[in-house]
Amino acid sequence: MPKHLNRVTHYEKGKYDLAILHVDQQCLLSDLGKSVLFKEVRKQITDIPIIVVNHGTPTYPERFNQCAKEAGMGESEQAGIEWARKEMKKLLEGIDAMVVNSYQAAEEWGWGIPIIHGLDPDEWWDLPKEPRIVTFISPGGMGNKYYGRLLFGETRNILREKYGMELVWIGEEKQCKDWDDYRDFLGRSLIYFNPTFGSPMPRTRTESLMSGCCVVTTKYHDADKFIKDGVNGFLIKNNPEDAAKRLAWCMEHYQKCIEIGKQGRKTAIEKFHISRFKNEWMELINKVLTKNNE
Amino acid sequence: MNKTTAFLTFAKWHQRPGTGSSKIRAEWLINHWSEAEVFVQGKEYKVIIFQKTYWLEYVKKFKGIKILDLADPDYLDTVPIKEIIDNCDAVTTSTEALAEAIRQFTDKPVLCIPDRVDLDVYNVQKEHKGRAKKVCWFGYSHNAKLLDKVILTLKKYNLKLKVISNFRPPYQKANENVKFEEETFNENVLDCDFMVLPRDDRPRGKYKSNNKTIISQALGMPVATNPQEVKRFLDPEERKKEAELRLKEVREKWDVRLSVKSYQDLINRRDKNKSNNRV
Repeated sequence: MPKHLNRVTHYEKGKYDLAILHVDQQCLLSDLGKSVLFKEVRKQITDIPIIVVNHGTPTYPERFNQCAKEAGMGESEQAGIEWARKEMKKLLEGIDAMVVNSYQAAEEWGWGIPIIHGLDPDEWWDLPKEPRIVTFISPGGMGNKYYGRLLFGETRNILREKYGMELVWIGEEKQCKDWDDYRDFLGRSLIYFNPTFGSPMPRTRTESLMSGCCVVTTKYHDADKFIKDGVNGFLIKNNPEDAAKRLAWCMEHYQKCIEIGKQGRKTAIEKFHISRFKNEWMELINKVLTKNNE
Repeated sequence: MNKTTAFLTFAKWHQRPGTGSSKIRAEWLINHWSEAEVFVQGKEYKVIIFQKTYWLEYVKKFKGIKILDLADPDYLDTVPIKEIIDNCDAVTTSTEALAEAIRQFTDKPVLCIPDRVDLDVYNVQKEHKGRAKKVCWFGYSHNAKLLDKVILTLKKYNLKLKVISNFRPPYQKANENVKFEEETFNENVLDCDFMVLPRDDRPRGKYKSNNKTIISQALGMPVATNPQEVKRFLDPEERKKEAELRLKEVREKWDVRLSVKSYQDLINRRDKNKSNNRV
């Protein structure tokens, strides 16, 4: 943790100027711990402006379809999204600003200020590449659609059976000892496969770009705004045959992937730089504080 | 004789004696290479050939000539090979297809030294008499499913099937399953009339070597890869003709001593290269 940050046991009124809280779609479900955490902390903070960072999207069909049905809004994925939008508005009433991670997330929620994350290029290592495919999606939680576990699983089976290739799921088959081990492993990987559907701007996708990996990704959450297919990465359809075919092609075209990885890193430095990220945050914080002092 | 060259074999590294690739790509060569032996821990060598072993720390430290020898595209199983290759002087492979794939990852010399046979091990040949009655397949059990596609053809021609494998598990559709043992292998093969080795059209089949074919041919056994050849080899005259032709080829092209020569040339070239770099 950076030296200028301190952990505290409780909130003290009058001591701070601004609160930044985390929220996501799981906070809408009262049976989940995240929901309790947000609501209880939120209640303590009544004297200063609050910005929430919404790290999620309204996508959670495995739970929200049923919620919509119980609320008399019909039973479909779209009804679930509508239900989540409405509930998030209610949950965040009185909040000064909601930051979201992608432009698509802002569209899906119907509001929110997109601040796209940023990384320090020096913190990510573009090392000589091992010919391997890696991915790093969450192994549990949020159903299968959001993180693209369904697409991942089917793609993996096709890769194995049709192309005789294996891939590495970081966090499952590959346990990293520490952050350096993770950066080293990622930096030495030729291909990063991002199968996510609902996750807004997955950080590992950006870390892979910054590490010079050839990124093969679904188009969702703005990927099609910064990945030019075949130039600085590859865009795949939400279809395991398409994904497996592209990944197998990449494994057979090492030098091409190296070139694409280099272009990907250039894109990451241009679009996902830590300086831009900090500036956008400072601007928003100034705006919120100025408005509250008027 | 001072042993200056070592093969660090897969069999030794993983404590799995009898591993096919270690036998074919190291032990048989050592039989005909007086300066070479299987790697001994703690001993000093001038040259080490890492036969399907990926010991990065040692490769980085070792100052002599280092060669990585590959018999399979293990990187498709996510084994890291690039960093090891970058720290070696050369790579050898069992097939040209594998060499082609590896050349993508490196500017180091990548040389195909194909699997060959030790003709002192396969020193007896089949005498072909009468219509064929029994055919043979050998290999690791997990590859035996390739035989599924020939079963109907064998039934059609009333041929019995003997499978020689590591018994994990035995092949259920065979008439006879025999456990692979070096001492009884030749005898078990020669008890049959010809071999059936269906083409491996699985995704990694293109990287597979022809070692089963040449071992069979060294024993004077014709190899059928399709139904037409099965039909042809029912006839003892056809088998005799094929066996003589292939045995001649094996002696000319597939003698393991040729592989020893290839390694020695490669090592000499690398040695000169290192000396020049030092100058």
